[in-house]
Amino acid sequence: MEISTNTLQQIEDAINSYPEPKSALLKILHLFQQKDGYISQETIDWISKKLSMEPLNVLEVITFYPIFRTKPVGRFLLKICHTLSCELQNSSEVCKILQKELNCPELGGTSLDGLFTIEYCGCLANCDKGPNILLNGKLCQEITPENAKTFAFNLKRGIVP
Amino acid sequence: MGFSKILPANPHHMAIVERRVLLKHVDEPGYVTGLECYLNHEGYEVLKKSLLRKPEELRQEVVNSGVRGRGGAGFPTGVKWNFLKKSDKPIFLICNADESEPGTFKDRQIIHKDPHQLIEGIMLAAYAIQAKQAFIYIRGEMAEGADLLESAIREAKNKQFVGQNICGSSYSCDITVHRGAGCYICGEETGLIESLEGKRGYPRIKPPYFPANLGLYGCPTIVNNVETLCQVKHILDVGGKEYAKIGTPNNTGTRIWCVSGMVKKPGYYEFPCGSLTLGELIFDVCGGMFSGRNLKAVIPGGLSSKILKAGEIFRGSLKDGTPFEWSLTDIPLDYDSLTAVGSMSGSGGIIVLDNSVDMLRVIANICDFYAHESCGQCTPCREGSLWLKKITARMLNGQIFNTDPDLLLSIANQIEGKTICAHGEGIAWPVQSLVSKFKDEFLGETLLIPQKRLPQAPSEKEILARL
Repeated sequence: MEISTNTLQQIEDAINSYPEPKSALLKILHLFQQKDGYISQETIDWISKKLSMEPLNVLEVITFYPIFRTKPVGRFLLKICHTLSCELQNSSEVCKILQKELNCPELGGTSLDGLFTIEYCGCLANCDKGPNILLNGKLCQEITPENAKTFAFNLKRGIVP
Repeated sequence: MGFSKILPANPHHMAIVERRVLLKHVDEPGYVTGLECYLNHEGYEVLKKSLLRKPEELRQEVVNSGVRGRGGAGFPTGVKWNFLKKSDKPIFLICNADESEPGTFKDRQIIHKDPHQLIEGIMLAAYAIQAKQAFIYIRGEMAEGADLLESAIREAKNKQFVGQNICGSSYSCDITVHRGAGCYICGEETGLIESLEGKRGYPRIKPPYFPANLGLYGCPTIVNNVETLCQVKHILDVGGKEYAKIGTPNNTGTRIWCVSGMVKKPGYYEFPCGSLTLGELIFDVCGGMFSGRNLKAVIPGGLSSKILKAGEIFRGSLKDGTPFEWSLTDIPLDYDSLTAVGSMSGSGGIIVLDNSVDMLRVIANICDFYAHESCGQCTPCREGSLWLKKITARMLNGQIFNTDPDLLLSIANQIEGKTICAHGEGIAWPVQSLVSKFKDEFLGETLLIPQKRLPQAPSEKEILARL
């Protein structure tokens, strides 16, 4: 497994920022996921050696946290807030529209062109400006059933709000 | 229904003006997140002057202020700090920025728009409790906020406000930003500590795992909310006794109320505790209901708090014995009043519901959320929340048995008080209050639609026969 010196340095910095190396696990997982899009078995093995842990203990952490994934997703990952304040602004309708427009019939699944993955997520703490969508980590607010089609249309052309 | 009788609690329409202390510079034109801008607005002055005082003096100021935690439980911060006992072990401070209680978005404003205020608050609290290291546990979804905080910490380090020998004193303390990864349960302080140790965020059992005694790495640890730590800065600026003059006794200081849902002007508003009523906040500050709609109910302190229904009359007596009789809109916005009416001020996330809202959708949404977020450690919460989700989802599909309300209540009652952490109450409370207050609506609506007429629930005999 090849890891750039820059990433290796970031991993060392992460470990050094805690009194105990194991605390850096979440930070390291975030780093790899940002780089590769997901956490592979190879990565799990590498991290477990690095932190002197069993691979199983790395995997149990990955499966506990919804943000980490062991499979690749589309180039654009859309997390739609589904909690009450956004739902009152009809976020599930927004979700349906986006699923149709971006060809993602299944929640959590990826469109055939490999571009889009749509899933639900918990509160994004921006409840006054719902419905909220997290697009590759960037918050997009006030995506309503009325403008969801335009949002999808732009996204297909690579235009991000 | 007496909806039309509900009038704004401020009949003379006196102007209600926000008192922004924490949010003073938030949204101010020209105010940016950089250190230079913060220093131009007297930034880090409180830290400089407080480092000249003894840590125990600062702790006493916080005790005198009477400030209570802004994260949800409302425990007095000074008392929490004084739980720390002298030992050989290092002390850790954790800032809980895992803002994930649905309906709450106050911490986001501070992190995104005034990060140095938070850093100053953290350094002051760290010095007061003599912490060896401080952590900010920020939500995994808030990647932008984490980057902002990290760059702000770097700036502050360059100017010696964080790190070695802060402001030339002998005190040193570093701040590490730790990103969570999408778990609601990691907002619970012991779950948060587990997560910070690089494990699954399973809450710990108390006793013995009270963080002040056995916290991070088994060392004494204090976990405070973002808003609480920012309050610390203002307490040490004006002094505890002076700060205690803001608000009402036992409910001191300002609070940021986050209003979302069916009002014209949702948003975040800062007011002294107890200085206005729920009605004034909804009708005068937030512009009231959309035209033609009526207030139906309010969830006053984040999704896990008990719902309050319009038309209800709340009677009882406050802690000091004063009797009260309030309608929903009369309730003063502070800790004690919301507790007195059987709910809580929680995280300050107020969700307003009007008569267009189907309460069955509300309860199904709440159950779906809590079932997903249960960590799975305790059987009552793991299984109970799942059944609540399944039953409410079925009801939403139109299949409603007239025994369902009692069944929901029975499950909720079996979760409450039987779990390691408060997640159990988090699901039980909204279900209990929604079912008891809106039972008629759950059952009544189906009567209007012939094909959804209430069937009798199958008897035990019939169920056995089907098997």
